[in-house]
Amino acid sequence: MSAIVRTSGLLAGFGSGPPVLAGVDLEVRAGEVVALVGANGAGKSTLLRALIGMVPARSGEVVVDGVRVPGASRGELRALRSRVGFAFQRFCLAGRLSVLHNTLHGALGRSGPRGWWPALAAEAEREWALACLDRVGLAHLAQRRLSTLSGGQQQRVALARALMQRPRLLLADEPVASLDPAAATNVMGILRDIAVDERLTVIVALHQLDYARQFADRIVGLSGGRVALDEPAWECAEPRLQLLYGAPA
Amino acid sequence: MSVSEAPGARVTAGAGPRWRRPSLSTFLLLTLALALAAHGFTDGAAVSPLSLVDGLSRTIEFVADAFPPDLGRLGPVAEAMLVTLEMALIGTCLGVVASVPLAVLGARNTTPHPLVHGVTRAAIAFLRSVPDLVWGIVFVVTVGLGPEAGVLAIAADTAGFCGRFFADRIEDVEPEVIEGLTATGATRGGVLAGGVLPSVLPSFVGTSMFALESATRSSVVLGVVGAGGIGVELTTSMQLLRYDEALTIILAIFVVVLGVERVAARIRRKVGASGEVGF
Repeated sequence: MSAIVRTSGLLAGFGSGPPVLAGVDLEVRAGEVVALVGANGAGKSTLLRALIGMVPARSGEVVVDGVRVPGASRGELRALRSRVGFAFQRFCLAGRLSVLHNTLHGALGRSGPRGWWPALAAEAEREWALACLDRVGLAHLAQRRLSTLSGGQQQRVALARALMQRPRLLLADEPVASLDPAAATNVMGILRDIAVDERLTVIVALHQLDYARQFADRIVGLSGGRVALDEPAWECAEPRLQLLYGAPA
Repeated sequence: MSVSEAPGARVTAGAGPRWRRPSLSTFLLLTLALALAAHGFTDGAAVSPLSLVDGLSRTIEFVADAFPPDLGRLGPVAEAMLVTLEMALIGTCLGVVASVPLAVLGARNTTPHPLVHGVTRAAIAFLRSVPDLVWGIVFVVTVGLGPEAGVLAIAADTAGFCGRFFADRIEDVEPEVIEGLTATGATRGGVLAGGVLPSVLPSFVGTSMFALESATRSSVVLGVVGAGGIGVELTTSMQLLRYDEALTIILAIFVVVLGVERVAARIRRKVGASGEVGF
């Protein structure tokens, strides 16, 4: 299978501070489910954002879905982002708006002004939004105000918004970090099912090593802004993972 | 057990002195306020206490002359009141519409450039700082006597008022909302119109209702400087010493202003409770 994500020597960081990513070399093939693990500050979130140009690369190469991200025009970046789903740890949804409205936001990258308000959205987009909500088991809450939902439900809405984009690649930044164990298992299960059913490539940053082994095909460990471990999930031994978090071998 | 050994003694000691000496700036401000008040009673405004007492007795005379209110000109009064209400409504609508782009350009998180933010905030501050009555005088000069001047004065005042509060509310939108929408590939317009503005719309409606209440009161006063509406009727009645007719007008103003306040408060409560505005 061809690589949908490829980085080499990627250096990236915020402002004029030291780089968070200090030379990341990574290749992800289409259809893979990859778990990114590593201690706080290892560069997991920065790497995910750098893949869609939300954190600029200082040097090195980033190619995602055929688009060379450093040097891409604003229009090219928007087009890339419109086909890459992104689920955030803090959901990044609009709490005052309805579940349906938040889901329809996934179409903003392709629908133009008609997608700005649910009332103006094309019927096909509304139907697709409801289908995406149904996929995460929330179609019955489409008209509810988002802020009235639980954390687990809000993360499922974030997944529905990502599905709304009809993505080829789904990035998830610690999507279960703020959820209780039951909600976290539920969200990870949905994420895995979506990946299999839609043949999506998924890169998910996680702190829970159990989930990483259970739901991913491959585990990539970051340490000090570099790839320190890259193994198939079933071969990845616990002590080697613990090393990433500073535990003695 | 002695008082010093009481359980609360240490806590009380930690509360500090009961009275604190005012800071130099507080002392200077208080001195300035007292000096201005003293000057106002002597040289500046020269407010005479005797005149105040005399004015009170004349007020009683005015009230006695005004009762009972003369309902003979109820038709023209109602017509002028309608004009006043329309001035307030149209002026508020124009002001609110003008304030939205001002707010977007003036909010730090949506402005295209820091310089644009600074210039827009300065323009909003100018619109807000000039009193509506002064705007009324200016527009009477530029567009002539009549309701048009009143409408423009209210629009300018509302744009300043709403522009400031709308911009502040936009700045309160969580950065995560904007980040989430940007990550979907939305354009700046899409982020703004699809996520930011719908999120702040309930607050915009509440602020607009306050602006409408204020505009209704302003539209009465604006008539005094020739900007149309019931104010013109009131000034004429007062100048012709028809106090009973003036009382009818004052009562009509009271009813309309109270009605607008009630309706506005109801809309604010409804929007505040549901947090949704028809989208």
